[in-house]
Amino acid sequence: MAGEKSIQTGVLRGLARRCPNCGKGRLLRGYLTVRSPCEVCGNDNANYPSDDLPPYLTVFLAGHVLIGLIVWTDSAYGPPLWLETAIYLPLTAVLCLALLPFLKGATIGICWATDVTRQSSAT
Amino acid sequence: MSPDSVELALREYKEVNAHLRANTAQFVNWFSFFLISNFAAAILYLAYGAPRQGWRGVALNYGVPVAVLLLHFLAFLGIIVFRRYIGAADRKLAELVAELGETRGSPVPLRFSRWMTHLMAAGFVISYFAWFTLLFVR
Repeated sequence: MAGEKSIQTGVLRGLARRCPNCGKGRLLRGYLTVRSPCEVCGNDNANYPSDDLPPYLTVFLAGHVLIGLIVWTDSAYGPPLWLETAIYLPLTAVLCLALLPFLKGATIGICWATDVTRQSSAT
Repeated sequence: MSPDSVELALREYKEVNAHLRANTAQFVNWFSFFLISNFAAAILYLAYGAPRQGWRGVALNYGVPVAVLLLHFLAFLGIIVFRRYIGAADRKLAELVAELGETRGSPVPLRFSRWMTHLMAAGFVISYFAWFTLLFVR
């Protein structure tokens, strides 16, 4: 299993919210808690630092989608501000909450593939 | 530990500390300059970068925002490298402190550094999406 270590493998397994090491065990318990050790291979997935990057990736992805949508609807239909706010505020929250667990998985996958652990990156 | 080793470890400790202090100041100054000049440029672009025709128009409408957005990726890379640098300095200092037989650990304010880079990244995100919006605003 360790022989397959690559960023692509790690990201794909992480996006599927599976353990990056075996691809079988579930990575998260509940919404964002990392299940460690892995129920299948015993890998310590909590040892990968995934606290800061996932929110940034989420904002980065959601921002591109939402700003494109907002600018497009604004210029194409010119809806009133209250309607845009009523649509886009909840949509922003839902999109961010939906993306976050997947991007946390992907981050753990990248850390697994590149051997970045909490000990090797103290900050 | 021999007196020579203690001397060497102490000198290394001072060097790492001085290096960290100088680089932190330099990076924070550089990043502040980057952020302020980005916001100033965005305001100028919005005020004077009216749509133009021909190649000059294309360069102004798309080239400028795309170039600034690409610069943002370098800045983000800078934040990541800076964080890793602080982590490495912290580990080195902790090692030296332990070598000297002290129990106090590293003097690097890691939590503060972490929050500082979070603030930088927040400024980065605002600046990035301001320029991303300017790609579409005519």
